[in-house]
Amino acid sequence: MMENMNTTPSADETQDLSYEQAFSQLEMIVSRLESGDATLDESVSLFQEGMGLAKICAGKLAAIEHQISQLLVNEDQIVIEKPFGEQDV
Amino acid sequence: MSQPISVTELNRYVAAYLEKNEHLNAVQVKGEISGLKAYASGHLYFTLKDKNAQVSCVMFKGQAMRLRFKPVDGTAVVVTAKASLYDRDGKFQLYVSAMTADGIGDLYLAFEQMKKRLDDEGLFDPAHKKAIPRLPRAIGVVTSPSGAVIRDIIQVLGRRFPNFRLQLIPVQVQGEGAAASIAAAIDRFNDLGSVDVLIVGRGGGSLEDLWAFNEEVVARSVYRSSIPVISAVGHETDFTICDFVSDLRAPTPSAAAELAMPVRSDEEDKIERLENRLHHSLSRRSQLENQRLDALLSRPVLAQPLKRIETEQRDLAALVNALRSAEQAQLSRSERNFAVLSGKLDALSPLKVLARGYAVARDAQGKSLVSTALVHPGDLVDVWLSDGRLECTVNQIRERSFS
Repeated sequence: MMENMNTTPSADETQDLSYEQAFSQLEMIVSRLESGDATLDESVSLFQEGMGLAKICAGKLAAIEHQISQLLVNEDQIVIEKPFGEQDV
Repeated sequence: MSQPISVTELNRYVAAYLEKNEHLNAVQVKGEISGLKAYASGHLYFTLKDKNAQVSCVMFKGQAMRLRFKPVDGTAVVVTAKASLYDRDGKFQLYVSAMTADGIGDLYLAFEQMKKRLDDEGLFDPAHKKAIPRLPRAIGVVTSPSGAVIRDIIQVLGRRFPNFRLQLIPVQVQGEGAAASIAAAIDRFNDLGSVDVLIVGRGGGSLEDLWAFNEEVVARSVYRSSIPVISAVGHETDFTICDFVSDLRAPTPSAAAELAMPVRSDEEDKIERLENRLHHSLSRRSQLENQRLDALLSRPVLAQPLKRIETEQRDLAALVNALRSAEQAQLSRSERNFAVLSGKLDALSPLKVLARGYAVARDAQGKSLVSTALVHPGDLVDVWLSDGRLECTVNQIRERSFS
């Protein structure tokens, strides 16, 4: 735990984080930083790691591409994705 | 009544007589099932009874297969049957073509039976339930493509999270084949793996309308889904088997959309608050460290680093002075003592005494003569003066009588 908190996760690791994982890590870092238990150096890296996680979280919110589609199976039993709109309702 | 007839003839006659009666051809009889035997052939044999009477019943495979619930001893039922005589045994019995649960309704009974069976099997086990992800990258919906449900879901999602992503697999939600199409859609989403959460549902309706969601094939597909399933069938008061198996039950399809997707602006606010706390916490820490540093720097040892040395130097000088004066004092005291002692020594010198006119008499052995008793007349004595000695002979000894 300690080692992880003091090292900024690599790009690969942060890619794999789910939103809730990134968010709860961020929450943990904030409370650790607020506790004042960390050394000054640790505090600085906690801050940097926290800011990185906040960016990841916000990025995940923005990364979802708005799309409403329906999955239909054609005569060859192949799934095709077609847009689905209000006119279909 | 002349010629006797055979038993066979009698039974056939009675059977034919009964079957001619319209009232007995399609009669509805209510009673409680007892002594039920289900044969491998698929036929059901049982006795229908009330407090006072009983009648044998048979339900052939073709009809028994269409039963929605599983009849067991004690079930109160209404059967539709033809009353006749089984001519081989001469036994009066009902040939049952349909059976419904009495009072609660057979769909309800079937529902209760299925619920109990699947519950016993562990399909509703809370330990098996999966967490709903907080931010699904895409939401899968299994419902009818037309109607209020998908429209409500899209509307609620749009309000909460403008850039939501939704995939719908349109299914038939009631009628023949509905359950199979719902189950197939859930399985398809699992094969594709394109969504993080599933909403399976339909709008309100009668128990009959919702029936597909009570069927085992749907329950099984929900149970084996590795994608978390939110069940939203009917209204708040409607419960289906699908609700019990699902990972989360939503009272309505709109509520399902709310459970599936967070409000984006809320999430952004939460992230921002956490960021602010990071900033605040670090700047407070750095202020604190600065204060501590200032406090250290203002301490005398750092503020006037030479002060200590100066003090020590002063103390040392004082000590050296003290040492010097002590030494001086000791020296003059010694000198004084020496003068006194050498004065005394001088005064005690025998030469000095001799110089004043005294003499020392000594015998031949060199011993000082301190008494007349030590010599006899005729003895040789040396008399020492300050500048030499006299060798004398004692002529006469006179004891002291100075008077």
